[in-house]
Amino acid sequence: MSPVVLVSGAVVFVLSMVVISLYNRLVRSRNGVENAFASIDVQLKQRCDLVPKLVDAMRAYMTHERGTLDELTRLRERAGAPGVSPDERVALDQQMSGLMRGLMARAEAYPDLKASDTVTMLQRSLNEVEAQIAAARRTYNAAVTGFNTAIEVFPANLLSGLLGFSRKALFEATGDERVVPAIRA
Amino acid sequence: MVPAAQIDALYESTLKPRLESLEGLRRDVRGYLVKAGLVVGVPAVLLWANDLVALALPDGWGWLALAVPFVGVFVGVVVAAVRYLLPGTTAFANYRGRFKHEVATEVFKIVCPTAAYAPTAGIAEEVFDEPGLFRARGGYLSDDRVRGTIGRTPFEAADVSRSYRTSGKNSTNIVVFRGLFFHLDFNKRLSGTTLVDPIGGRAVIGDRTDLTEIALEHPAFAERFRVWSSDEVEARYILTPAMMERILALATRSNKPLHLAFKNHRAYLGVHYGRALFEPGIRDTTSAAAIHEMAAQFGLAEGIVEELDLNTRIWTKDVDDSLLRVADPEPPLSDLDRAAFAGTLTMEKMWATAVQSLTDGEKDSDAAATRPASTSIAIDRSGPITTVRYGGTVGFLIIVTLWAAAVAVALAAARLLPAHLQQPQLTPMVSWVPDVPYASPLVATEPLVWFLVSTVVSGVLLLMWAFRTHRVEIGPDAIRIWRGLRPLPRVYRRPPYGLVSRANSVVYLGKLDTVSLINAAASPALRDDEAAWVAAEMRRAVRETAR
Repeated sequence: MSPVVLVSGAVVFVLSMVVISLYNRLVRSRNGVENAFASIDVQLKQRCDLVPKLVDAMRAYMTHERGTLDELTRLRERAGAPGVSPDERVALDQQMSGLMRGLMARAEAYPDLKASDTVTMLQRSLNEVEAQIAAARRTYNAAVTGFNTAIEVFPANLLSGLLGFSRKALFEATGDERVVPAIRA
Repeated sequence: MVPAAQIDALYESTLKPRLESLEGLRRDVRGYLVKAGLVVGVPAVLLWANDLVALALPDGWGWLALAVPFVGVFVGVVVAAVRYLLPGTTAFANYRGRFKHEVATEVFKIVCPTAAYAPTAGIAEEVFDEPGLFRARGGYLSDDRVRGTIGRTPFEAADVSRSYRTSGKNSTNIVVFRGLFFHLDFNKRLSGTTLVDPIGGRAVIGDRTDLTEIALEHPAFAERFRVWSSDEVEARYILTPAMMERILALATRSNKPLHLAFKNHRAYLGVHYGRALFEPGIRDTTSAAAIHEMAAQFGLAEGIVEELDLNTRIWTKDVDDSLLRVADPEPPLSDLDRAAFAGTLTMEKMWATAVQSLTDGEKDSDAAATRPASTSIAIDRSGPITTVRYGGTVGFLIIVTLWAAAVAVALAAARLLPAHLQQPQLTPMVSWVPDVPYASPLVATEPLVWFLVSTVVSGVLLLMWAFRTHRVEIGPDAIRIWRGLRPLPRVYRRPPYGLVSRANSVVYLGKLDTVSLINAAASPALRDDEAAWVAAEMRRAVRETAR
């Protein structure tokens, strides 16, 4: 075997090792992002499950909010239907979240409602799910930031396009979510 | 926070007169410390400066500069232990007890009116170790416990000292935490473990191998703390941006390393001061500044609950006050504690308690009175007199042989010294020594070194066998102990003698009621199981022959 063949063989071997390790790192990072997204999804589902309970508990007291309650039920049914894409579900979820916030704020005006143990417990569950969602989003954003950095630094940036990795978007809080809910236990 | 003026008022009206009444005790304690320091310290300083002292001495007497302080340090340690240790600790126990009872309790009452203060109770060791913040193998001490509810949050806090014993031959004790430790009911449900370590802290903290380090997106927080967790989402659920801000504020306020843990719906928080807290001053009267500091430390609990926003109970987790009922809500005060609180603890009482803890300890119950499988010790209980014979163990024979060898080497080397040191006038002193086989050629090159080393070794070995206890007789009137080369026993009359105590591998004979810190050895160094057996048998013999 001539030295040229030997040397070029060694170079190819080293290069392929570098590519493999880069690729594996990017895959690990991408799976981290997907895992983080899954944990948001779990929390969103939990919030979704709270909706019918909340609607039932409130319907008895909040006679003037029937429209909002019906709208919430409808959104929840749509979100729970099979074949809904994740993006669509996130959008539906944000609508529901906005409506629930509004409801909670108006609940202050109903003394009977405020005194109800069921409603209080539901409010606290909602608070908890919201806090969990916030934490899951921060985890997701941290994972996305890690992933985006990983694909943009040299030399991964030379390969990430070829290997089919592209930047992922961060989860941003929507306008009405930035408002602190006026909920007391 | 209680306003400073209120604490000043308390100090002037109540605490100052009480502290003044404690002055006598404080001076006693300081006196004993100073005296003990002098009897050990003066010879120690002379020893350190022996070169200088030697210059001042006439020629040929220079060795005294080393020898006298050397002996002086030993004598000083013994004198300090015998004369000052017991009265000193008794006086300190009284001083500390009355201080806690009459001063610390008052400060606490105005700072935390909703909680209970128990100076002698502490946070349970299992509670402290539960989150795994610190390495656990080693000593644990906790006192000055506060328990109660602030707003809606149940909590307990105490002064804790946790040390860690390193493994291996040169194992040392490292204090991993010493300061105020808080145990609080957390306001959120938790299923994992999350730990927060200060950056730039001490080296040995705890084991983090089961947890993942989490990079949080708060630069100022990440600069001062490292976060470890079993669940990345839960770590962020606890450490919200607002929470991180609050922890930073708390760290800035306390200006001490802050350790936090979150596990099982509980929050744990340690403020590392590196010293004991809530203790009375010894050098000077406890100052108003020290009282203010004490109030701030008691008040920290309230600050923490507020800073960490634990009273916000808007999550599904309910208030759980079970931590207030964890074992010994307040352990019953021992007689000793009660006496110390009243300042009426006496040396006799202190001694009696120490004696009782030696004799009543399950360390040497009658169950230990089984003969170890292999032992050369014989105990004869047939007559009215119980006899313990330690026999000639293999170790004993080895020591005698080594001693004989060391003496031979020393003599062989001594014979060569006059020529080696070019001091022919010394020759007559050693001319009687014959040529020692084997040893003489060995020491020929460096006789001085061989002489010094073998003299020291033979001296130590001589002490090891010449004063070895080999026989003990326990009779109704006296206990007789045969030691080393003495043909007749030393006789210890009963009473006052009659207390058998064991310090691991050696059994001692002491006086029953009187204060004495030096006890007679009633055995050579034994194996632990042998010593336990001998001690139990002797104790039984003493009990059965008591009149």
